[in-house]
Amino acid sequence: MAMAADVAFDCFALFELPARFALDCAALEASYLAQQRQLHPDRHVRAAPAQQHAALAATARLNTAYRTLAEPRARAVHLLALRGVDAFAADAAVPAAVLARQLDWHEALEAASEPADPPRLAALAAELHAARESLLAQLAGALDEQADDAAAAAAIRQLGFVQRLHEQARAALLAGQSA
Amino acid sequence: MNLLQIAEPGSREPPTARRRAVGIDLGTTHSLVATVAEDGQVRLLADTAGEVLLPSAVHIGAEGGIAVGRAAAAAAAGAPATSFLSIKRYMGRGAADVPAAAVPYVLAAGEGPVRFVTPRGPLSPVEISAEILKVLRQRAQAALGGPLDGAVITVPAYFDDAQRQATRDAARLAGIEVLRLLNEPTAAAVAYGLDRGGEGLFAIYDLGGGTFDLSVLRLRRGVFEVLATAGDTALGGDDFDRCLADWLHAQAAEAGAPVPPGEAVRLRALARRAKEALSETEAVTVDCPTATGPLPVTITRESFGALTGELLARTLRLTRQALHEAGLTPAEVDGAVLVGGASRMPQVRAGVASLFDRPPLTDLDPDRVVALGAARQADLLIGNRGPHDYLLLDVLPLSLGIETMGGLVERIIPRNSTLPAMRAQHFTTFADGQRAMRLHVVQGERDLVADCRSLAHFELRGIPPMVAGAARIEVSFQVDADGLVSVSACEQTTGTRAEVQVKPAYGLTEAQITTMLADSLAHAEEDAAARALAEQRLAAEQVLQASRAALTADGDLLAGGEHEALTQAMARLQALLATDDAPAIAAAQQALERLTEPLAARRMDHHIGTALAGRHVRDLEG
Repeated sequence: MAMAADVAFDCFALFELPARFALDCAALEASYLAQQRQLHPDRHVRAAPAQQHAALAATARLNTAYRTLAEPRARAVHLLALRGVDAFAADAAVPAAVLARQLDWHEALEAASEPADPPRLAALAAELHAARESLLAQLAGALDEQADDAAAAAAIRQLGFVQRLHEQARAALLAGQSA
Repeated sequence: MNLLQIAEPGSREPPTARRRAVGIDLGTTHSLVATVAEDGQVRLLADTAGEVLLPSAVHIGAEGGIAVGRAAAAAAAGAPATSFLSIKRYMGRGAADVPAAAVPYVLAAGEGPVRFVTPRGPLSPVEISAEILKVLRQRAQAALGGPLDGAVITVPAYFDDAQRQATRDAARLAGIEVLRLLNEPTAAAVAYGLDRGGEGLFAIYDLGGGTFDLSVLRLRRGVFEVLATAGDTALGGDDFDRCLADWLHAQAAEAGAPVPPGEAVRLRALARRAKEALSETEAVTVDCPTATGPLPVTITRESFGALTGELLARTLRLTRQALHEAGLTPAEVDGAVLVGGASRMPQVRAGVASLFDRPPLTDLDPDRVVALGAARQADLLIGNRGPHDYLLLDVLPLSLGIETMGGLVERIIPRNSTLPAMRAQHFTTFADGQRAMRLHVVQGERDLVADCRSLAHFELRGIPPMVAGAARIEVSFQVDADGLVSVSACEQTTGTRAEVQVKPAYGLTEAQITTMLADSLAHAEEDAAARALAEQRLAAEQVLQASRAALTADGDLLAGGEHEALTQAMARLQALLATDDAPAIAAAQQALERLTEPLAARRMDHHIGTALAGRHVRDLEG
C-alpha cells in the first residue's frame, strides 16, 4: 500500500510554516520541540484521563506531521495532496528511458549483492545517492517555482524507486561488513 | 491548539507537598529501587542489611511460603523447580515459547500465558514478578515514610507490547501506581546526560542479565530523543553463563567425571561467578561438582572470550543495525555508554571500543545507572520540582501490523516511530448486516503473521447493520508513551463507536487481574509476615547445609571444643526451624555463623594453598 500522506490536516500549518517544498529545518525542529514540551503525555501524567487522552492524540498527530515534513518525499506528497493532487494516480505512465535506467540499477544491485561485492555496492549506493539529490532538486523546482504538479508527481514516483534501491544497497553493504 | 490546559509539571502543587515517587529497575538477575531526595540527589534505597541489589529470585516453599531475594536465589540449587531466577525472560510469553526441556520448572497445561506449577498452584510470570515488586515497594515505603504516589518501572527497549503489558500488570498486582514504563537504555541516558550536561549523539549499549538493547539517542537542549533502537529480549549475561557452564560440563565429561544433572543449577552459579571473576583476573579455576567430588577446571579470559564470541558478535550486529536505521556511522557517534552488569566483561568492552574506535563511557555503575535514571524520571513525572526539566521522546521498538488475507502482515506503524503514535485505517463490511469484525494485531518485522508476535485479537462489535461495503469503519491504532497498543473503532457514516474486546494472546485478561488483586489485598499483611518467616527459614537452612558440608569436608581443621559447640548450635537451629519464631531462628542462625567463621578462614587458607592458577572460585556456601 502506498504511504499516502494524511490530508486530514495541514502539517505546515501545525508548525506555522509556509506550504512550500523548501523547508526551514531549524524552524521545524524548534516548533516541534516547543510543542512537544507542552503537549507530551509526560507533562500530563497526573491529569484527568480525558486530558491525558487529548495529550496522547495531540502528540501522536504532532509526530505524524513532523515525520511527514522531515522526510522530503513525504513532504512533497503532502504538499501535492494539499493542492488536491494525488501523486500516485493510477494513470501515470513511466517514460521508457526512466524505466530502462531503473532496470539497469536493479540488475547492478543483484550482481553486486550475490556474492557481496563491497566496492561495487558502495559505488552503486553513491550513484543512487546522487540520483536522489538530483530528483530532490527537480522536485523543488517543480513544486516551488514552476508549479508543475505533474512533473512533481513523476519525480515523487521515481524518488520512491531510487530511495528503496538506495536503502537496499546500503543494507547489502552493512550485511557485508557484519559478516 | 486549545485542546489542552497547559500546565508545567509541579506548578499545581505547593512546594511543600513533596510526593513519594521511585524508579524501579526490574532486572532479570537483580532489581533496584531509587528515589530523588529532597536535596535533588538520587539515592538507591537499601534493605535493612544495607543491600541495594535485590536478586530477582522468588522461591515458593513446600508449604506455599514465598521468599524473595538472596534467600530465594540461594535456594535454587536445592529446589530448582520452585526457585525462579530469571522470571523476566518469561514475561508476556506463552507456554509454547518456553522450552520445557531446558527449564527446571514444571509447566502447567492451558492456553494463554505460561504458568509454572508450584505448591501455591500454577503461577504466571506476572504473579511471580509482582512478589519482587512488592518487596521493593515495601522497602521504598519504609525509606520514604509512607505509601508511594507512583513509580517509573524500566523495561528493555526491545520489549514488545505483551511483555510491557505483563510488567504493568505485575506492578498493579504489587499495588504500585505506574507513572510510566521507561526503556532501560533511555533511563541510563537520563542518568548520564543530566549528570554531565551532555549534548550530541550517544549509543547506549545495554547488556543485562537476560536482555540486550541498543538505543541511539540525540541529546540537545533538554530533549532526549531516541532515533533508533534494536535488541534481543533473549540475549544477556545469563547466556554467557550458560555457555561457560556447558563448556565446564564438557570438560568434566572429557575428564571422565561428568557433572550429575542434579548439580546443573550449582554449575551455572559457579560459571556465573567465574565469569565475574574473569573481569578482574586473567584465569580462574572452578571446582566442578562431579559424582566423584570436586574437579578443578581452569579457564582463561582469552578462552572465555573465544567461547562466547558469537554472543558478542550478535550484540555488535544489532548495534550496527540500529546505527544504520538512525542513518549514522559509528564515527558520527559522540559517545558509547555501557550499561548492564554483563557489560563489565572485558571482551564486551573491547568489542564496543573497537566498533566505535574509542573507549566506551563506564563512569556510572552499569548495574545502577538504570535505576538512577528511572528515579529522575519518576520525580519529574510526579511533579516534584527537581533541579532538571527535560523531555524524553522514545520510539516503538517493533513494527505494529494487522493480519490480512493469506496470513500476511500489513504494517500499520513502522518501528522506530516516535511515541506516542497513531494511525487510522479504513475497513468496510463484506456481508449484508455484518455487526462485528475481528482484527488480529501482531508485532514484528516479518511479512508472515506466523513469524511475528501475536499481540491480541480485537473484536469490534456493535457495527450498525448495513448492506455489504456500505459501512465505513475507521479503526484507530494507537501506541502510547509506554509503548502499549490500543485500538478503537468507529463506523463513520452513522458515527457509531464500536465496542472493542481485547483478547491478549499471552496476557492476563482484565477479569483475571481483578481477581488476583482482590486476593492479594485481602491477605497483604499476613503475606508480608509469612514472607519474612519463609525467607528466614530458607536462609537458616542454607547456613545449616553449608555448616554440615564444611564439617564433613574440613572437620579435622577444628579443635575438639569447637567441634562440639558447632554441633550444638546446629542442633539448636534445626529445632527452631520447626517453629514460626522468625527472630529466634535469626538469632540462632547468627550464633551458628559466628562459630563457623574460624573454620571458614582456615578452609580458605587451606584451599589457597591448593589452588592451581589465578583466583579460585569457591563452591557455593551460603
